[in-house]
Amino acid sequence: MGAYATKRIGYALLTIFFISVITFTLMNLIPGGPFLSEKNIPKETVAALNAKYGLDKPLPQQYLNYMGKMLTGDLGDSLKQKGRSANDIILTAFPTSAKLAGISILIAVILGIIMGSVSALNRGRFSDRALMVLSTLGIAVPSFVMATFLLIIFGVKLKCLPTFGLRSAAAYILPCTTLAFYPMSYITRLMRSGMLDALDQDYIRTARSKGVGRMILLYKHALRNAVLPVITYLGPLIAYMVTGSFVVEKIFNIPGLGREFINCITARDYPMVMSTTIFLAVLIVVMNLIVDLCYKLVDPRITLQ
Amino acid sequence: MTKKLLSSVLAVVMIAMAFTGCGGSASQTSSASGEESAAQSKNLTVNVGAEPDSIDPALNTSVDGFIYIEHAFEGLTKVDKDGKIAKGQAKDIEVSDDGLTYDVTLRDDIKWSDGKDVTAQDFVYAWQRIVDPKTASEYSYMLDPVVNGTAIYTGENKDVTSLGITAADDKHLTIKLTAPCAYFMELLARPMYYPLRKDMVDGNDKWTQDPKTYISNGPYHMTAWNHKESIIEQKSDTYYNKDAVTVDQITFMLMEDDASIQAAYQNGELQFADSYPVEEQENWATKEDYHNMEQAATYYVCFNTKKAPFDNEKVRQALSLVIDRNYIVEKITKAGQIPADAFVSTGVSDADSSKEFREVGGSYFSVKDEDYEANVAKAKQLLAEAGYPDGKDFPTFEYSYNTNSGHKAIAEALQNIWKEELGINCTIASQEWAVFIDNRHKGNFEICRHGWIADYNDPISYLDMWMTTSGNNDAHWSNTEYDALIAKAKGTGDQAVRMQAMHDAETILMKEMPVCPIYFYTDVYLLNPNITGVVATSLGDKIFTYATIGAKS
Repeated sequence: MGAYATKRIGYALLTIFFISVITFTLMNLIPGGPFLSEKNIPKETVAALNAKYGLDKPLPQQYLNYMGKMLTGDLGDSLKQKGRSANDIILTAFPTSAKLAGISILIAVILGIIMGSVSALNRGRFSDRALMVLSTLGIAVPSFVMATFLLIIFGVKLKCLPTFGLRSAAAYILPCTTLAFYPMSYITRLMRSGMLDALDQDYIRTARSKGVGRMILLYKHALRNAVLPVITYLGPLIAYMVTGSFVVEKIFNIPGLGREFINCITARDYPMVMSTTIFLAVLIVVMNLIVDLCYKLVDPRITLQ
Repeated sequence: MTKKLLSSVLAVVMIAMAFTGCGGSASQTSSASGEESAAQSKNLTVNVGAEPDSIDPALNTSVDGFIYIEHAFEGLTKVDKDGKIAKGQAKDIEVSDDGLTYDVTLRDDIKWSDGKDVTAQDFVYAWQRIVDPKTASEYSYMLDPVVNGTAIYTGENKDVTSLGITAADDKHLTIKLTAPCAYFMELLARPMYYPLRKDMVDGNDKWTQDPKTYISNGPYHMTAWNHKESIIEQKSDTYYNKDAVTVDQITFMLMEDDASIQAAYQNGELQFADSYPVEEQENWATKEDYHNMEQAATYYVCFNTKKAPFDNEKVRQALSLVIDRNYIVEKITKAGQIPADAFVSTGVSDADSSKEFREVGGSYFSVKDEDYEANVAKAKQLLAEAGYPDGKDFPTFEYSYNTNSGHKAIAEALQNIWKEELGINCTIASQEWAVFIDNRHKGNFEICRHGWIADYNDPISYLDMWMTTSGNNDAHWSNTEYDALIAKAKGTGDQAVRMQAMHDAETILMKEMPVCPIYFYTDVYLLNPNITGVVATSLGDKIFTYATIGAKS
């Protein structure tokens, strides 16, 4: 286990190194720059700005400077959001995103597992069909449609929920529902097929013939196997929820990391592009590692190598 | 059977839960009461824009940023509650006969929000700071009229103290100008001319981030900046004119999505909204909430006059005349924009300040519906004279714009009009903003969209950009007679002479047509009908300081 973890961490560091090089190269390849303005700026001003942020140095040196500072924990200053460092921005935005994503994942996993199981146990019946229609909708409807729909119904027409921000508990309802809807639907489907698969297995039949109760059968025997694909899905899901919440953050005006991640690219805010990308890369790598370790807990047959 | 029923019920309940989120939350009543509580406490919650890049008066570049700043700070002059320029921090401003020296005496009772006196040195520090190349302000050119302003920010003059502003003592300032400047009183009210606290700002890049260091001298001071969420400003007890300030607290919600802004306004969470989806225009136009005012800004098309066939004046005139501007404002933009018949927009004053520059200058071509046929005929004739009868042999060219659905619709309309009426082919290309402005500055385009918002209420803000030496001359157009007229207008304080020179210059600009104006912008916003006294200027300022809530019964 220890050797396995060491190896994985080694690979992770290598991955992050490649990501940083590729991001840095691509970012400098796209046309345009951070100090372009619609109005003409004196070239002395642009030169002063470039010197201030070290952008007047050759690119390899800029890369080394950046990575060197990053190792000491300094992600650099934002070029656009004057007076804020990338550390500040990520530290304020990430907890918001994490909270939102955490709640949504919880909803998605709990409801998804229950709905998937119910669906599998009632295969072909009305409840199964209804749940499948719902989960198809959840996968097909894009989040901005969902968000706007909820906003109009609950915010504008019924006026019972706040339409923006996260200032009260009620404010979480609309964005979390929107965010949770897609993964919930996906998990429902994963769970349904996993469950159907498990219920067909010989050991289930054996257990049943020995008179094991329905609930115990489900929880103790079928669920464990059926839930494995869901765990695999959780790793990328967490990363998707933190970065992919751009639309939801924009519509509900939530100060999260998804907006920073997208906006810094259009603004050519180089240090922000680097730090958000590396931050999220680390997050994804760590999540995947945790998921892999979790496999073993759920299914002792799996050996980690 | 019961089990089957039970699971069906469960499924239905879960579907219902999925649609309402966690379901059964007790806190559903917490919102939608913003309107009532605001009426009692004299607080306003408004939206004028998204998160600003900076609220440093020297570094901000956006109109919404100006709004947060101008509630917190005040210059020597200010925009008063009637929208006119009035004395602000200055008690007295004496202008010498030649218009080159301004002797300013500050008011006795002016204080910073932490209780310290505002001194003449605070102005000197702020002005020297904005022209210092190290500050790297994009708006340092606003100090062009002040002696040595230009020389310092371009690095020719290394001595910032040589800037034409000196403090004789704590209360007296002397300002020297390079040439008489008829709109200088107006400039003094702009954020680039606001005073700053050296002890807070100097060497502290983060001074705008913390209410403890964002010390200001205006009617309000910032109490919180929740990034990407809100900026909260509270009335300052230290402000000399605090009795005239009627709103106790302004919460500026920082929002960027039009549909969400509109939803928040309809929900009563916002009392003022500066934008809403264009599709909703017709719904709002008839409502009491709707306000539409002229804005000092022009939407236009820029020709690259260095590239054939757009180096030919007749081609440019033909392409411009044939545009059905009424169609564009009525069917595409739909927010009451005014079809442009000249370059300087409405909302800009002439020598006689009761008249607009546009009224005096008149129109350079007819944009009336009934004249459209004649315009098309003339355009065809011009194109034939240029050597392209019925568009024959006219090369296919590219029209570029920055990615945006509104710009795209206009691009398609132009493409269609040019094809239908003149028989010439144009492709349209959408570019991401940073790429687009880079190409436009460098002249990597044939025809592109453009827009200009005036920096101050004077036609020179529109006209000096087309001088040969101007860095904003994206058309790369050059005309010595034009340059001479603009130089003349800039060199005199005599309003009659200046305005005449600028009218003459505009005549040349509209004859050679390096740029083809499409429409003059309008500023549309939604304001809760219970609120009166919000000041809106043609430069896009919105001042909430003197608003009354619930005045209308």
